[in-house]
Amino acid sequence: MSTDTGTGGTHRRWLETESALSKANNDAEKEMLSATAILGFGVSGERARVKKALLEFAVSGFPGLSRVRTRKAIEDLIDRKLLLYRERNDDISVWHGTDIDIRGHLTEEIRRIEMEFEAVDVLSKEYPAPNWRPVGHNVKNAIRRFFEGKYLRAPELLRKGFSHPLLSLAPGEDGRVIYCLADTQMEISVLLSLMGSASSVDPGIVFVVPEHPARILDIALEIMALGRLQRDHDLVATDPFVLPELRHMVDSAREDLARVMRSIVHPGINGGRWFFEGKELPVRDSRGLCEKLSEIADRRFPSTPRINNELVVRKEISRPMVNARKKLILGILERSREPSLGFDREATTPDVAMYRTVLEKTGLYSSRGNGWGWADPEQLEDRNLAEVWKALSRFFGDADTGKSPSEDLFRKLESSPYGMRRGVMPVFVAAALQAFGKAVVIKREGKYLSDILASEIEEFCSAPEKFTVDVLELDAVLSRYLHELIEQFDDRQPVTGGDLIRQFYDSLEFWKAQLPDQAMRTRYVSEEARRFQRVLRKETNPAVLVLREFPKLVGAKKPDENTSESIGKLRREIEGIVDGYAEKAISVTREVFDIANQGERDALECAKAWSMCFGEETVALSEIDNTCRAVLDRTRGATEGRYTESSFVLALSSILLGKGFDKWDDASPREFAERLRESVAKLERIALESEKPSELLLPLLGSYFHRLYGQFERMLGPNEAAEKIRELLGEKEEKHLHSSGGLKKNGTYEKSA
Amino acid sequence: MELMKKALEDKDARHIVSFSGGKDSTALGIYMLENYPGLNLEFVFCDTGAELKETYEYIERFEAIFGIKIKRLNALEGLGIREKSGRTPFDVYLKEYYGDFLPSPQARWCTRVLKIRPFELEIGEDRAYSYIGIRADEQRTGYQQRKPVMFSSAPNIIPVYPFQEDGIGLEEVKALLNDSGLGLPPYYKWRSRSGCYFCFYQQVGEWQGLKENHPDLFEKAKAYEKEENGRKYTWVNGRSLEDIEKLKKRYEIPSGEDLDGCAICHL
Repeated sequence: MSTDTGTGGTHRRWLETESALSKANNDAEKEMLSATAILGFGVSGERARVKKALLEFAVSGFPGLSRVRTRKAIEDLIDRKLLLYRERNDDISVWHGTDIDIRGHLTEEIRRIEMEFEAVDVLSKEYPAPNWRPVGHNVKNAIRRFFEGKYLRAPELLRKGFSHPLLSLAPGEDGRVIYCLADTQMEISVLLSLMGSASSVDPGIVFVVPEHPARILDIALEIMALGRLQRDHDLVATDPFVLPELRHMVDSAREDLARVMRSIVHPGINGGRWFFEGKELPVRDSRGLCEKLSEIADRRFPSTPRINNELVVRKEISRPMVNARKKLILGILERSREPSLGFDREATTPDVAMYRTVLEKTGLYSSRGNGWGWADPEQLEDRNLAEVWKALSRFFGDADTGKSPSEDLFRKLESSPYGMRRGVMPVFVAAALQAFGKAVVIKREGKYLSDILASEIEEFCSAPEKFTVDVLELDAVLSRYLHELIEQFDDRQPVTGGDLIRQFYDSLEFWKAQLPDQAMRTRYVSEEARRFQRVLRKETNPAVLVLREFPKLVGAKKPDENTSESIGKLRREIEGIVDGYAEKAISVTREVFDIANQGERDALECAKAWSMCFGEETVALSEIDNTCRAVLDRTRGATEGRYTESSFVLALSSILLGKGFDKWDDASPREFAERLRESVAKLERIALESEKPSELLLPLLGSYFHRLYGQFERMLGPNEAAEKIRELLGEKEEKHLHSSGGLKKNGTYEKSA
Repeated sequence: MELMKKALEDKDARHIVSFSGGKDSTALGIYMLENYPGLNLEFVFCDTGAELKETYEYIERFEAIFGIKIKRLNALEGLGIREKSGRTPFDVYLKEYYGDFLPSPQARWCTRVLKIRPFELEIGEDRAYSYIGIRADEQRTGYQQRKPVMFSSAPNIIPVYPFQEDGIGLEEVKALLNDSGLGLPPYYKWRSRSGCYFCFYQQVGEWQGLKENHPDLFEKAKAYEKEENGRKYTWVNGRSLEDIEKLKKRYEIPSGEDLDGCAICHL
């Protein structure tokens, strides 16, 4: 007690009792005050409730106190504020000494908030309307349905009638229990008469009408007012006892509310009366209620597919389960036809558990005669599941003749008679798309969905209004045409089943990604190919491309047996751009390095022969720049087997222009030739200008000579050119002999070595 | 010297040079090709799908100049997900496996799943020497703090550091690149590291460089950032790219010699 000194603590209460005792008029009053205090301490100092009857019993042995005198004495002590009596929960305690009129404040607060008071809101918060599960139905169907509880005040129901929004269920809602709240017997009578005509309301609505009127709204109002008083800082600051007292009053009011509500919302002898489709349900206890609700759920959802996985067969699933579901969806989208969708069946992770329960145990995905694959609806044992699977097959497989929007699919599956859970739908959608989608165009906000992974499926299911799904009529002609087009653009592997429109789109995108940047813009192609470029740049919807634009490009109204081949020609023309660039580069390279002047030699041999002129003694590495050095290095290794002609010129392009042919544009061939000539000329000049040229350079000089001689020939003709050369050689020889002293006095030359 | 010697003598093992698209790993490729022409080298590059365009071009130039093929490793393969145009391993992991939870220095799932795991899958159970371009003049740590740089801690993958063993430093690396005609990767003008364009180790000056050189990629990086339930998910701790965009001061680009983070992406 010496340590429990806070407000409301035992020490404080001891002092309050001592104070009250000092004001007592006689021993009997002292006895009552002492008894109240000791009983209030309870067995361990907590604040125990002391009922009036208990106090009367406790002091009944006191000499001279009859029952009547005892009661009078208690009332007297209450009037003199030595004892405090809380009527609502029948609790007497020693007056704590505050003079604040809390009850008065409460009355005033109630008056103030009465008008803005929303009884149902406060009640739903203080005592939420209980939900009920149709347990039998749930066990039978491996699902967790429930009837959601809602309060509805009688005047509101009577005013709006059965068109009240609470009386219709949205898709995905299993059922609802409407707890009617009535303040008067008159309201109850009207409600009961109304129930007879309730057969027209949604067949998932159950009504509960109270047996007796209850002052629920008064209690709820008091709770709300007390809550506001607790937040009234001025009031609370006036006395340290105010807040504990307010708390005590709230607790007491809540207890009272719970007692009253229990009698209304729980079935029982004194509980409310339960109605369904205009008839009273013979419900006596919770078990009986669950049985009745199961019958209702069975009638409402007779086609519930049985999927035994409570982690995913839910309206909303947890974040880790969403991740597991996405892994499963990825398996469906990316590994269909693989055994167990590529999952390790023995694993215990949630994604594998989902695979086993949703797809394998149900028979949706299994190994059949020709390998693993998706079941047809007729192959499924669970007829309810077959119905759902059939609905999905129609959605993704049947061509669009008045197809309903995507959100209708989900509405349908969530509503009666299927009542599927949202949690499992993405798995079904992904599976059905794989199983039945043969020519599907899915657009998000009007644009073709370029890739479909788990996130897109999740989004499709959570916001279906963003998506449209068009299914094309896939006859044999269209199927063959699409197969041919797919192979035109991506022949890495044969076309398998699945969505041919998507496969075409993927193959086209793959092809476009391989092309040089310039391929879609170059002007050096035919007019047809330029129109092909324009169409590919502009149109992103593959269905429009294959059905309208491609035939139009080749002068047809619709795809025929020649369309794909004609498109193939345009494709090859565009692809040829890179080959054209490479050929130009090879041609220039041969010409630049051809020191043997043989014209038709291989570019690699030319480069190697040229590089042989540049030994380490020919050219000092320190004198040449990095580009020249790199060119020289590449030519030295040209014939070591690392390069083909194409890859060799590609290497030179990477050194000289810093890019490969895929980045070339129409100006690049000229630029390449200039840079190559410039680097080669620079190297040759440095080598030839050396004071002591190496003999290795002789082939290069020979090449120079041949080229110059050719020029002479072109300028002077063969004979004069020869004469001119002889003349030049004569001058040169004379000069040489002079400088070496080889000219005799008689003007003849010594025989030169 | 011992490890290098042992590696060179082991003809039955695989010899792997892993490219990041940065200067050191590229220089190592050149160094190995020029100095150990008899070695049966394999070149790999773990493609996150979020590298800079310049990185891809730089790698292509390397391939073209040296007439070799660098094998692109793609993390999608390990997931059993097909590669296709527009589908990047980073995005697949982020959206499909990590619930849009951006990687950060504290949760660096990107390096683990996009670089290390594909590398380990490629090697499998084979005995392999993994040649790593850590220079003799630097002390960088690996994926795990205070541990040497290695692409995998698997016992069958033995890290070898030729530059350290042969005393090759920054100057020699630059010379190797320049002499080959490749030069330094072009992004070093505004960025001090290779790797993804949104790398969270980038400093403010580098983000500003990204904005200046690749405004489209900067916008893409911005689009990843979000606020959910009052919590901000940003690339830079404590501020969004929108905040960085508004900065008037132009911050310096770090030298790149004391980079944060492990060297796996930034070699």
